[in-house]
Parts: sequence; structure tokens; C-alpha cells
Amino acid sequence: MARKADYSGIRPDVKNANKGTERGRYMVEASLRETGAGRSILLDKDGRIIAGNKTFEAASDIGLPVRIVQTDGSELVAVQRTDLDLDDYTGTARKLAYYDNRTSSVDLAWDVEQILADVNAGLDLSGLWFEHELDGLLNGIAGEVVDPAQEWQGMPEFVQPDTMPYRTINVHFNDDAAVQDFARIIGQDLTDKTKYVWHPEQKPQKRLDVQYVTNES
Amino acid sequence: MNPKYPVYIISKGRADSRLTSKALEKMHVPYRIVIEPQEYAQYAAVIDPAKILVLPFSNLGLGGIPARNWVWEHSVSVGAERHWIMDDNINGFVRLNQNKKYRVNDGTVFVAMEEFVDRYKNVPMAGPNYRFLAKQRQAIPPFYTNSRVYSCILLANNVPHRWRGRYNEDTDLSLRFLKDGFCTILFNAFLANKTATMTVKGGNTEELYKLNGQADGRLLMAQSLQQQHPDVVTITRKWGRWQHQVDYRPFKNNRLIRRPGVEIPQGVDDYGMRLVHLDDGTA
Repeated sequence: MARKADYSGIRPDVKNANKGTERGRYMVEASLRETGAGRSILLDKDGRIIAGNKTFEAASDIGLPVRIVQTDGSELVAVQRTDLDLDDYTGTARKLAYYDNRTSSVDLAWDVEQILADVNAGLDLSGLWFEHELDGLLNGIAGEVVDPAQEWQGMPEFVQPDTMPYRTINVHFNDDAAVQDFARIIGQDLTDKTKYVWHPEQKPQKRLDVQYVTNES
Repeated sequence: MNPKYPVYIISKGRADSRLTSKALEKMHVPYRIVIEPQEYAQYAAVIDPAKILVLPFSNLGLGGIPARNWVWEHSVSVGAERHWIMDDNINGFVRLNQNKKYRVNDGTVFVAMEEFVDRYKNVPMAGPNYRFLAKQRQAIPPFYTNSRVYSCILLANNVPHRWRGRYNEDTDLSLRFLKDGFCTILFNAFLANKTATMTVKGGNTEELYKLNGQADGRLLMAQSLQQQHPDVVTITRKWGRWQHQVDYRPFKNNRLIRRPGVEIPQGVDDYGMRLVHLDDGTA
């Protein structure tokens, strides 16, 4: 006859900031059924679950017994599975490793109101999220839509209209006489180095003798 | 006006050319040039020794990364919130406006960039675009967000990131910031007149491009970046050489977040800058 599990003295954390997900809940249960219990859950001194609320929930649903190991945090409690071997051809140990990582990811759904309540109560979460990440989590959006022109208010003038050519046409010449004839028609000099012209003519501005200076310079 | 954050130039084998140093001298911008000990005499002969910081190591064969991280820690040690780190092949700084690019003759543009970046709480990396990449006839915005920042970089000190790897460290750091949800700002209104890579003798990149005597370390560099960021980097061959191609689209939703209490004045503030014809002083 199967041993009846005793869960007395263990209580879920009603302020757990991870709401969990439906998919994650099924995955945790599948993990326990297929590969057995892996890492331990963590209780506080009064038996409230600090970490592993979802695992406990699934374990109690399927009647998995619980063994409590008391410690004060000064040593790492290692759970050794005597029936598993990472080199085992069945792959059970290997799959448990995947379950362990994947369930953590799939079963995570932050409870924004709980985080906000914890932060407002003075809990310092700064080492866990960058400030903008926490802002994004709590406010639902990671910032404002940026219009660079609007954002540039109070900055040096930046007027940059599109002055690209309206149209570019390649003109082919039979010989140098034709080049010079064309130059005469448009009233511009064409040299061996000329790659393009503007019509109407746009003279290049000398830049080196013009600079931005400030009153202090 | 001079920048409020410390300016560092990392330099190797370029005591003669020292383009960035010359540019900042001309602009009267305070800076420190960071060099390896064996080159002290060459640099001290042409730069005020008070502006020279000597690294506690030399010829590590790791590119500029150890020097960059040393600079980072130095700036933290002096209590700075950010620091400028510049390559040593920048031949001046430029302002783009009205489809024209004109040189600037002092550090006001650095102040403008600092104050703009300080409006936000999630911009750890910013800097001017390259002069030749900001097309002067195109309608471009005053700045791009969430792209890479290179060669002349304003870095926040209060982040856990540091330079890593050997190659393409600017792109790698930009991508790591972007993947952590930060924004980067690349200014088009202010530009660095960067000389083309490998056209100035010396520097760390020269060593890396010729790895193991091969003329084309570029492929190794591209592969390195792809290994660091396989999700966004592909390798292509353009203009007869290997190039990395980065897809920045995944970061388009990283949004700028203003610091609380920052009030942004409306209109234009030219920070006292005005265009002057140097020959006759007329505007």
C-alpha cells in the first residue's frame, strides 16, 4: 500500500510574485511523473514556501511524499538521485536536466501587482533587473515612442531636408568634341575628372574656411 | 565649452600621427592619452606628459580590449559617471546642419551630446556617427537609436558590462547593451572625421588584421562576432572582402526613457555655436 503523503506544516506563499502558467503547471507535473523529484523546494522556518510553490503544488496533486531537511543556509543541500546516471542510455537524467531548466522558463509569469507591492514595501530588486527592465515590467512598456525631431528640442539646429537629385540621367558622348559641345550648352566646365553635373549648376562650397565657433573659443 | 566627462584616447604606435590628440589639442579639449609603457618616450616627446596615462601592461596581443577596460576602471576610480573613449585616428569633429558639414573648433559638441544623453536613464552608449556615413543630402534624423556606436564613444560607468573579445568590440558591446534592453544613440548632428581603418599606421587593429601573417584577418573578425551574436550577425563578402552584417531590427522597440524631472526646453539651443568664415571672421 502506498505511503500517504503528509503535507502538514507546508504552506504556499500567498505573496509569490510568480503567477505561473498553465503550460508550466502541466510541464512540472509531467516532469515529476516521468523523471521523479529533482531539486528540492525551499521553506522558511514556519514552513512557508520560499521557492518551489509550483513544484509543491504538482507534487501534492500526484501524492509525492515530502522529506524535510533543516538547514540554516550555511551549507548547500545537494539532492543525490541514486537511481540516475547522466551517462545512462535511457537519457532520464539528461531529460530531467532539460525539465529543470525548461520548466523554470515556461512556468514564469510575473505578478506585476505583487512586484509593485514588494518594491513599495522597500524590497530592493535593483540587482535583479536593470532599472529600465523593471520599469518595462511594471509599466507594461519600456519607454516612450521616440520622434527624433521632437526629442531634439533644446538642441542645436538640425535642419536636414532631402536634397538628393530629383532624377539622374546618364549622358553618353561619342568623343571629346561632343563633351565640350555639351559643356557649352549647359554652361559648365567638364573635365576628365567630372563624374556628374547638376542642372541648374550647384557650385561646391569651400568648407575649410568656414567653421562652427563659440563665443568662448 | 568642454565636456564634463573625462576623455580618453587609446593609442598604440601612433605617436607620430596621433590624429585624435592633435584634433583635441586644436579644439582645446582636455584629454588623457593611454599608451603602453614601451612607447612613453615617443609620446612624451610630442604630448604634454601630464596628459599621458601609462598602462600597467604591454603587447598582450589582445587588441585594445585590456586598455579599454583599464580606461573604464580608471574613469570609475576618478568618480566619473560616464567617460569618453576615442580611437586615435579621428581627424577632427564636425557638425551637420542644413545639408552642410562644417568643422567645430571647440568641445561644445561633446557637451551637447553629453547633455542630450543625460536626459535619459537607459542610454549607456552614445557617440557621433562617422562623417562619411552621414549622407549630407539625405533627410536623416539628428540621431539614430539602437544601432552600433563606434570609435568615439560616451560610455556609462554604472553598468556591469565591460569590453570583451579581440575584434569588433564596439559592435559587440553595442549589441550586448541592446540585448539587455538599453538604448544606444548615434548622433548625425555631430560627426567624427574618422580616417578609414588601416589607412593610418599603427593601432591595435593593424595587428589583428594581419593575424598569423595572413593578409585577411577580416574573416576571423567577422566569424568572431558571429560566434558572439549568431542570432543577429551574418557574414557576407562585399567589395572583395569579408564583412559582418548585423540585423539591428530586433532592437527597434528599445525605447528611450527620460530621467524623472528632466525638463526639455522647446526650440533651438545652439550652445553658442555660430558659423564663421575664418578668413574675415564674418558669420
